[in-house]
Order: sequence, then C-alpha cells, then structure tokens
Amino acid sequence: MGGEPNVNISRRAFLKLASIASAALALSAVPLAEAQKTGEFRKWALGEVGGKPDIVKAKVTPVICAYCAMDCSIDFYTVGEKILWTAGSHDSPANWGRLCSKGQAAFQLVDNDLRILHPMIRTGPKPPVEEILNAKSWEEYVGIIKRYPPKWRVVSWDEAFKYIAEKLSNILSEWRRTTGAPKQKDGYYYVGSQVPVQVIGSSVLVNEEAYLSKKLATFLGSANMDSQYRKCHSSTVSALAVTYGWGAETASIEDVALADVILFFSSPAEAHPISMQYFFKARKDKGAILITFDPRLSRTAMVSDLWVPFRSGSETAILLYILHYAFFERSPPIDQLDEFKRLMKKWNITLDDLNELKDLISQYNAEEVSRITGTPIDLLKAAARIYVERSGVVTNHKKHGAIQWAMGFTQHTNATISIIRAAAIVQLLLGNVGYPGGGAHPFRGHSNVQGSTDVQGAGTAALPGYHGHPVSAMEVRLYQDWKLQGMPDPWSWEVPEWALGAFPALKASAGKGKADLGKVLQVFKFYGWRRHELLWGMFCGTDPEGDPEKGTVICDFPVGSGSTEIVFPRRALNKEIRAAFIFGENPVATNPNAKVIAAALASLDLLVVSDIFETETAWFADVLLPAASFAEKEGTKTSSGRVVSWSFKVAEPRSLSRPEYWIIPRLYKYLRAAGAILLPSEAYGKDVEKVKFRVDSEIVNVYERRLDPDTSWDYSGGTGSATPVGPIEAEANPRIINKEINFTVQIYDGMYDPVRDKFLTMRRETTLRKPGDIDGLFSRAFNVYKDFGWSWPHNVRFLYNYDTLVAVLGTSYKVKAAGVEWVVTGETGEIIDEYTGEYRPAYIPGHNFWAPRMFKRRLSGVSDLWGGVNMMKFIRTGALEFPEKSFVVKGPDGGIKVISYEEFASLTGMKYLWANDTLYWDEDTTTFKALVKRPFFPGEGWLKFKPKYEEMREKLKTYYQQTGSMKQAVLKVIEEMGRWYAGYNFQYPIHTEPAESPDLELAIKYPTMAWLHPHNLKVLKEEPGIVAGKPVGLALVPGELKVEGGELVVLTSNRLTETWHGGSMSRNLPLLVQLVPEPFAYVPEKLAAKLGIKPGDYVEIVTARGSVKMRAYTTKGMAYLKVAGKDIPVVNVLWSFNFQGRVIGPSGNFISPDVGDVDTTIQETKVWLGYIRRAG
Amino acid sequence: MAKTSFLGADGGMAVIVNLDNCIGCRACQIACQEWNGRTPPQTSFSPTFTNPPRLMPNAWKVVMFHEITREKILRVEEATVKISDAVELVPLPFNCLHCTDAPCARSCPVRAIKVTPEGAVVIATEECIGCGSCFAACPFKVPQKGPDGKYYKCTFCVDRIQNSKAPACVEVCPNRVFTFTSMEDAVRIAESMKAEGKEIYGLDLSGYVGGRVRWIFALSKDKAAQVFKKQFPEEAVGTMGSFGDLAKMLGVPGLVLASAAGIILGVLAWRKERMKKTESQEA
Repeated sequence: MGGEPNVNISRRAFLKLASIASAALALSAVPLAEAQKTGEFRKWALGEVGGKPDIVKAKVTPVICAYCAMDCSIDFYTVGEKILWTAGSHDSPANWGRLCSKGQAAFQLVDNDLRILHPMIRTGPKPPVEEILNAKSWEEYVGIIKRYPPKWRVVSWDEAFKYIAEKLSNILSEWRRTTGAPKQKDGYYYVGSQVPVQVIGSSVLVNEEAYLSKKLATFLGSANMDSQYRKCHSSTVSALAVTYGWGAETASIEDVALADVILFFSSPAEAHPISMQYFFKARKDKGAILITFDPRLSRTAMVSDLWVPFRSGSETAILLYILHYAFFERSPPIDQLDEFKRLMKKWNITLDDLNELKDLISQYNAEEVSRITGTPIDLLKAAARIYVERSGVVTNHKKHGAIQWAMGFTQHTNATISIIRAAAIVQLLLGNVGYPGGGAHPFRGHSNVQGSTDVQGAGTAALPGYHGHPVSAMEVRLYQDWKLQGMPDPWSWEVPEWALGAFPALKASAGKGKADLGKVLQVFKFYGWRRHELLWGMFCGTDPEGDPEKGTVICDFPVGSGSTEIVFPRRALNKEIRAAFIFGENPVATNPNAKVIAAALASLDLLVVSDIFETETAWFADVLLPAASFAEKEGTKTSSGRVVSWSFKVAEPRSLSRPEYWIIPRLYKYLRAAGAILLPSEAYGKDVEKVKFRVDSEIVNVYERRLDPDTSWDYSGGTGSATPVGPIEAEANPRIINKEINFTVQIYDGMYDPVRDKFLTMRRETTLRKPGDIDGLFSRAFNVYKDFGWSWPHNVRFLYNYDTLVAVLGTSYKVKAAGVEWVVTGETGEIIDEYTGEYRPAYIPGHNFWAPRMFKRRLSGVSDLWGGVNMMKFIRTGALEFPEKSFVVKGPDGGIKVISYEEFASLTGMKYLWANDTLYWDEDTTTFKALVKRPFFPGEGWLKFKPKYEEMREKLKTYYQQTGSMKQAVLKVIEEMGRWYAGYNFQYPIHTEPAESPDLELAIKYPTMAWLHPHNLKVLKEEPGIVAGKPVGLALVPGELKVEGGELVVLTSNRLTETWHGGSMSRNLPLLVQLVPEPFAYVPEKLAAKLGIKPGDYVEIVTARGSVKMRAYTTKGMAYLKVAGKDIPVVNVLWSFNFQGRVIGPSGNFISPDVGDVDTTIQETKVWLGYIRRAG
Repeated sequence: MAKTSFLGADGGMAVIVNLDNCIGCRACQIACQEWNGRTPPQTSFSPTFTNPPRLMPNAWKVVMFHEITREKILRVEEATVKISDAVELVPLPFNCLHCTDAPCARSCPVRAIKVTPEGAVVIATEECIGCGSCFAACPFKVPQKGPDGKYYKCTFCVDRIQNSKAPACVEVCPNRVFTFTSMEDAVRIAESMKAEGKEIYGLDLSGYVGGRVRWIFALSKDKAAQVFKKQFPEEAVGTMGSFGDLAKMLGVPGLVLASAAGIILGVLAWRKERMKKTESQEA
C-alpha cells in the first residue's frame, strides 16, 4: 500500500551490481592507474562530468516549483549562494522525486542575466495610445512600442517608494477632494469600483504575498483588485462554487489514480506533466480508459486510449450528449436506478425539475451534437457509453469516472453558465462527485493560483477567504446587529425584523434555531468580516455600536465589486482607472486583444510593476521593482488539489531584489506617510470599537478594542517557530503573515497549530495514516497522504465525500479522539478541540457540500471571536492577552455577568477556545445540498423559455437578413426583447456559440451568450470612444471578416510543456528556449496541402484584430472537421511569445478577442475566427 | 581491446525505455544538460518538434518525435472503436545506447573511450584527439564534435551510476519511462514486455555492437513497426551493412591498434563523406 505509484529503479539490482564491480576491481591484476591508461577502469567522482564536485557538500532545500499547480517540490543543492543542481524531492507525493522540463529548468529563474536587480524609474515617454490601438499587424505594433523605450534610471528602494507614494497620493487626494469620498450620503465607506486604482497580482506569489496585495487594495478602498486566476479558472471557481459549494478541484491528485475512466478536456501531459503518473496509475491498477477531447493531438491525446477531436467552443454539447446517452439511449435509463434515486435527494431538485432537465437534454442527440461539434458520431457514442457505464450511479460505486479540464473549458463566453456547469452536473447525476475516482478536476495553472484565489477572495468582490465585500450600507447595519447578538452561528442568529425588507432571501429561516443556505452564506460573510476587523485593526459597523438601525455606518472594507483584469483595460482607456500596481504579472502578454491592454497601461498616470524580468508589462511602467525569485523567499503555496505546502528559502535575493512580502509592507508605510491611504473610520474619527452584546434586549458592554491598522502592517520580528530565517524576513516575516491568514481566512483556519506552535504546511510525511487515526481508514483505503502539508478545509483532501466509506467500502469508521468516540462515514478532517487542545474529527459524519461555511459556534452570544484575545499580538509574540473581561454569561439567578477568560475556562472547560473559536460541525451542518438547478439571470426555466428561444432565433435571423450585420441584428433583438436571451434564467446549461462563430446557421440556432454581460456589449459597440473604428473589435460571423485569399478557420490557442503562459518564465530560460525557440501555429496537414503550406513556412493569420505571421507546424494531428455540413479546420496558435526577452515572436493574444465569460469575464481565448494563408 | 574482459553482454547495467509511458515532456533532455553542465545550443523552429533536431556536443540526449498513422482498435467491455487512419505521435528519448561491445571504443585509436564495470561507454575528454573514428564507427551517429574539436556523448551518467545514483534522465522522468537496473534484470523485464505485445529494440542486434545495447527500447507493436524503423539504422539491427564494409576496409583490430596518421585520415575522409550524405538526406 502507498508509496510511489510505481518504483522502477531496482535498488536490489543496484546493490548487486555494486558488489560485482568492487569484486572485479579487487580481482583485477592490473593496477588502477594502468587500467585507466588502457581504458579498463576509471572511477568517476559524483558531479565530475558536469564540473560540480562540490555537490557532496551541498545543502539541500525543498522549494515548491514556480510553474504549474501540481506544486512539485524541487530540491535545490547549494553551496553558499551557489546553486549546483536541482532534482525532484523524493519526499513529496506531488512528484515523488520527478520533474518536468520546466521544473528541471526552473533554477534558471534564479540565476539569469536578464533578471532586474535594482529599482528603476522611467524617464522616457510612453507609447501613444491611439497609435497602439491602430496597429493592424504584429510587426506594426512592435514597431510603435519599441520606438518608446522606458529609459530606466536606477534608484534606491527609498527613492522608488517615495516616488510612488507622492504620485499616488496626488492622484487619490485629488480624487477624494472631487468626490468627497469616503464620505457618502449614507455613511463613511469607499465604493470599491470607484477608487481609481487597480491592483493586480499574482498567482506566482506565495500566499503570504498574494494576501498582502489584496490587503493593500482593501486599505486603498479599492475593489478593483484581481489576479491571474481571473484569466485561467475564474469560470471554474464560479461554476463549481454555485453547484457544489466551493470552486476548487473536488479532490487532491490521489483521486485520479482511483478513477476507472477519465475524460481529459485539457492536456495535462503538457500543462501538468507530473500529474500523468497518477493517471497512469489508474490505468495500471484499475484498467482506466483515458479519453482526450481536443482539437489537437496533444501529448495527452498521444498517450490516451482515444483522441476525440472536436470544435473548440462546443464543449457543452458534448457534455449534454453524455447525459443524452444516460437518459435516453441506455437501458435502463439512469434515473430508473436505485442509486440515482437515493442521490437525487442530495441535489435539491424535484421530479418535475428532472423532467425539465431531461427535456432540455433530449435536444442534444448524437446527430445534432455531431453537427455542432464536428466529432464523428461513432467516437462520440463510444466515449459517452464508456463514461456512463463506468460511473458511480451505474456500477453502484464499484467504478467512477473523473473529468479533468483546464483552459479548454474555462476561456469561453459560456464557460461558467454552460460548459463547467454541465461538467459539474454530469459528475453529480452520474454519482461520481464525492466518491474516490469521481472528481471534477480542473487543473490550475500557476503554482499558487488556487492559493492566490483563496487569500484574495477571488479579488474583486470579497475579502480574503471569499468573505464577500459588503454590498450596501444596509448590509453593514445588519452586520452590526449580528455583532450585537454576540457573533452567532447561523442557527443562533435571529435576523432582525427591520432588515427583512432589504434581505428577502433571509426571510425563510429568519428565526433562531433554523438555518438555510441563504442564512449560512450571510453568516459566513459576517464571520469573515469580523476576522478581518480583528486582525487588520479596522472597523466595520455603526457608531454608536448599540444602534445598528440608526447609527452612522462606517466601513473600512470597500463596498461592492470592482473591475476584473479583463474589464479593467477599457475602464482605464475611459479614464476611470488612473493608477495600477501589478505584482508579478504580465498582462500585456497574458491579456487577450493585446493592443487594448497595452494602450490601457500606456494611458495610466502611474503604473508600478514588480517582476524578476523586464517584461512587456514592465515596458509600460513608471516604476519597476525588482522582485525575488521563487527560490529566494519562503512561504506557502496551495496546489491545484488544495494541498498547502511550505516552500523554503534557498538563498538571499540576488542584489537588491526583494520578495513581495518585504515590498508591500514597505510600500504601505510610504503610502501611509504620504497620505495616500485614508480609512473611512479615520475620516469619521473613530479609533475605538466598543464591543457590546444585546442580551434579553439589554445592551451589555463587553470590552473595548483600539483600532490599530498600522500595527497590522508591522510584520517584523517573530518568535518560536516563526523565528525569522534571514535579515529580510526579520524586517517582514512571512511566518507572521501566514499566522494572520490562518486567523482571517476561515477556510485556512488550521494550517497553523497555535497550541503546538507548528506550521502544518511544513509537514513532509509520505506515509499513510494508521487504523485508529482520524481518517485512518480513508487514508489507507484510498492512498491519500494526509500528513504531507495541509489542505483546506481542516485538512480534508477529497471534498464532499460524505458517505464514501459506506458507499464504497461498505463500512463506517469508529475513531477515538479528544476523549470521545466518533462514528464517521466519510473523510472528516480534523480540528483542535476546545476542551483538550487535542485533535478531533471536524465534519461529522463526513464532508459535504458547502462545508465548512455552516459551522456552529459554542461562543455564539457569549464572546467575541477567540474570546476577544488580542490576536494581532498573539501572532506576533505568542502572548495570549485577553481583555480583562470578555465573556457574557448568565448566573444561576438569571443575572447577566461579564467574566474573564480564566473564569469562563474554568467554568466550562473550554481552555483552548482561542485556538478554534469553538467551531464544530454536527449532522445539522453537514446535510446541505448541491444545486443541480441554479438560476443565473431573472426569467423563467427551460420549458417556459422554449417559445421565446424560437422567437429570439427568428428575430436574429430576420434582422441579420435585413441588415447583413450580426452586430445590428443582436442590438435590435436586445432592443425589442428587452434583454439578450430574454426569458431564460439559465437554470440548466445549453450550448451557445462563441462570440465569433464559424457558421452562420449555428450562430443563429445557438446564439452566443456573450451579450448578457455589459463588458461584452462594450466590446461589441466599440467602447469607449477611443477604440471606435480601430482594429480591436469582433467579427461575429464569417461574412464579417473580409480577407483576400486564404481559408476560414476556427482559431484556438495553447501553450506547451516547454512554454509558460505569457512566457517571461520560459522564453528567458536558455534550457527551455532551445526546445521551442519560436512561436508557431498548428496547421492541419489537409489545410496546408490546400494552401501550399510546407512545414516551417510562415503563415499569416488574419482576424478582426489584425494579423500575425507565424511558422506552420503541419500535422495530421490537428482537427479538420465537418461542422454543420461544412469543412471547418481548426488552427492552434501559441501565445507564450512576445516582444521582450531572450527570444521573441508574435503572440496569439495579438489576435484574440477581449470578450469574456458572462459571469466572470474570463476571456474567450479558446475560440475565435480568422483566415489563414501562406505568408508572402 | 579496450573493453573490460569480465563484462560481457550479460553483465553491467541497463535501462529499459518504456516508450508507451513517454509523454514527450523532455525533462530528461534538460536534466541531462543540467547534470552534465552543458550549455544549451542555439536552435531554430523545428518542423518535427524535435529540438535540437539531432544529438549535439551539448545535447547528449534528445527526444525524437515521430508522427505516424495506423489502424487503431480500442476494445473494452463497453465498446469497440476502430479508427482506420489514427494519427499517433510517438516521442523517443534518444541518447548513446551504450553497446555491449562498443564499436566506438574499439575504433578509438588512442583508447580514449573507456568501458566501465557498469558497462558505461565513456569518452575521456582529456584523452580525446578529435579524430572522429568513434563517430564513423557508431551506427547510431551518437558522438558529436564540440567546438574544441573533441567528441562528446552521453556517459550513462557514469559519475552518478558509480556513486549509487540512477542517471539524471532516469531520475527526473515524470512518467517512469526508464527503468535502470542490471542487464540481467533488464532482459527479464524486456521478455515480459514482449509477452505483453510490445516490440523490443536493443537485445537482438548485430555482433558489430555486441549483439545488445544497454538502452533497450520497448513500444507497442502497432507503433513500433514504424517508429523503430524510422529511428534506428538497419546496420545495427541485422547485417553489418556499410559498417561491416568499413570495418573490413580498415580492419577493425588494425584501426584500434594503429596510430598511423594515414589510417586516421582515411577514417576522417570517410566520415566527412558520410556527414555530407546525412546532411543531404536531412535536407
């Protein structure tokens, strides 16, 4: 049991050989010196061939890889500051000693002659905005940009910070003066979208840094905060979160080895190479069938059992066809199976709902889906049959299927609402999700993209940990009332009568003792706000505290949502955003429609960029800050499968480069000193919170808390296990920040053990748990490494596995912990017990949908969080300092008393209440349902929508025929019907075409969803004014793209094993550059033959956004499809090259559109329209 | 003869290369360069994906990509799928195969090519005179001339395997393509793979390379028929071919023992011609 999926080096054979060799040496009559001369024997010292004999003396430090989110551990072998060698760490279940080409080359990110090592200030003018927007070809674009070099002046850190602070202070002071902010009509707060500052970054930072970038945005009052996750998996997060409760991959990587069939909709062999060992383990152990859906014969397709080519943008149709097979083609249909009926109770749907869904699915038969997707019918049928027949619901959990995806799913206008929702629903209805081998596996790109999303609360609309921003002053009043009720859990909270008008969703379970999802989500928000208030020294509530209804609303958290990375550029061009901070990101390369982002950055009054290289984004910066590379700092990263592990520091940052955990607190200090930051509580003049509880309508003074935002930014020092590891860390200690995250972000609660002063993320155990341990049976039966790192929530590795042990193993599990015997049916995770300080199972009897949001809290109505202990002080010094009195209790006579921690602890035994805030999950809390049905827009369900659907199609067709312009037709339909897709609430997914559809018939039959989002309408209408008439728009149907010669193709984009996203981390590394030195386009051989394109020829690809010339990689392994009766070739372009760095070349993003997903705005860079021809 | 007398084709170490596991990530290619301190060569776009397009003095291991089409049938319980012209991409990590009786070592006029007890065939750089006879003798075109005039190639990570470590490429491989073990064990593994329907390359070769090489390739039969033919020269498979002729022409023992400049020049001239031929084939 356990161990590596496969061990191939035979150690026994090795030892045997070693003994033969030494025997041979001993027997040999020839002296060694002589033997060397004659070539017989020669003994080489380790490292001799490569000139690294010091390797035997090297220090070995494990670092989490800088690339993908498998979060492999790399051992760095160093002597002093010199890196001699790197190899995969054997003590990490992520990679078991293995690495991919990027991981093996990653050390070249540290020692690289292109690193920037000093802060620099721009002295040159920026490229003119209009000129950039007008460029029709890549060559023209680069020509314009290169005429305006930054002309850097090297400065000290002090000068750089002062320069930034002064400029930003001017921008914000003026803005505050003209708008009156933070004073509003109904209180003191910033409307988060209006603050003219955008903060971006990043998914390569450690959690401790990413968290600070969100904290900085919050202190600036800005909700215009976003990161790379927007562009890779925001749609996944959104779709999975509304269906299952959380947006994360449903299980850690061990899960895929337990699958019996896997559908790949991405290419993990290229984007996540190390994961393949687990897929191959499934193949070896379980006979799993691997099926790859991809327009390209990827390196995953290459090793799969089946390659199913299809047209990018038609994923929903494929997924709905799988259900069509399950409900209408197999016998018996799955809804007649007992297991389906049992599970249906967990999905929040009625039989009527199911019938409605089935009616929708009935439209997607094999013939129709083949017409939409271009996939041959027999392949489609075989894939669906294999997948359904190996599902949990059909086999009674003897088999399960997993769906794996990445950008192929996520970067579409209909990604959230159709594609990923469809995948999530397929997994639920087939009884896969929540069971081993049945995961929904969106593989994250960046090494810490999951963590960055978590600790930035997905940026725009929530605090760290997804605790949503307040949406209104009224919500702050409701929050103040919640605080007055003693920070209750959902069951102990009584929604006040006066708030029900404003919050109708809370009506159903307003009273005490009841809780539904609406109430649970509201308390989860409030609970997060309180955590942040306490750790950030801020205030959100009313003054006076005892009068939530009429007091003045003051909130230091920004109110509402802000602009995403995709929406931001057009807002900047419209002068709504004036300044931006970009930490470790390169949007000029990674954003779609390159001219728009480049022009936007050129238009800013202040752009501050931190990076390790002078990226394309840095080209537009006013100030460029040298960041430390991934091996020159420490902190945690969260893998795609939510395993949080510690990355250790190898060496001091080269020259003056610094980690962002050092840069951002300094920046804060300078910004503060220059007056750039003004909190609403300060504008109002509030510096103390009087914590009061209302008990039996009596207001009780509990304790007073001094607001102290500046101390919350002081991360110097550190004791015990947080003793700083170097001089930089002594000034800004990531270990203190890590503890802060532990206490602000509820889902990360538990990664630090405050009782034992231990960072659990540092654990490197590669053994399975034993019988008798918490989750001992789970860990053993499914080979899950629960003691390597730590996983949210509460170290649960497989989400939602409520009854896995019973359903799969046929048994429940008894475990004794913290003096109690627990009977559990799934994975429970563990939490510190408030009575004993020992660990006990967290989720009883197993982990279910939406957990851990629906906690119960023993201190509800009794005390503030953690008993009111000064948590800001505890994380810095380890000292537990409680207010003199902070616990509200009723005496035996019914009298209300406020008593001390010591008194309360001795009265109740809850000595460790400060460690876990007395949270617990019983069976009430673990019965929340998944949402198969979920409306996204106002309107009716599918059945009622059907006639309107027809009407919409008819109108669209008529108006297109009348005007000859799809844009005009769309706008007319919206005008007449009141809204795009008027009448459908999108409760169930349907196929919709991409914004740029290759076929007129399909564009009318399945209208794109795009126009449901105001940003997309901006793109359609060519807004703001400055872009009008410039080549940055759309061609909605082939007829709108006028190109001489060439062939119409569906364009899609990809990266390779050897290239990395925007490319600054791959095309600057000599080792990787040699493998893929130039960008190219995958051209189907048949198309190449038609156009006379030979391998390696330059081709020109022309789109509504202009054109690029790239080399042609001609191959039979690129889809040439029959879509709706017509030949549709697919061409795939690389997007990881650009105009800066060791090797350069055109980027696929020069020609991709900046329309986005209608829910999260993630860009549609997996499908657009173009013509291809041989370049002259 | 320079080879060790006690180490026959049955002794020493070997590597099984299970190509069906290869995901073409090229980590092996990078690990090889990093461990051996090789500066990556400058390259340009490769229409075959393979890059650098062949072994080079600074690229001792290169993953070769082969695109083929074939009939493919997937038979599982739930369905049978037949695709008449299925396109396949097959990566093949390629490096010195470490022949059990290495012609390069035999051919080296100054005995600069050592064969270790593990069976590693290693060019001792400090002794190499750059004559090129090793390249001329090698049926796989492995040794590559560096800018310093000396020849370079994979050493079987001799400084690792002699110090209880697997070769760097073996260790890094994310998907267990390589099994580093004793020749004895490797033969056993290869036999069982053969029984599973794989074709094996490396155990049944001409006497010119010792009958066997130490890097033994396994690949599903339906792919191997085309890929092995594309990748490996016929000379090493069956008859001695042109190498036999060359050996005859020069006289192998004579070549090894002789230090006469004339013979060396003769080899160089032959090699030059051969290189020309190769280049024109590749163009």
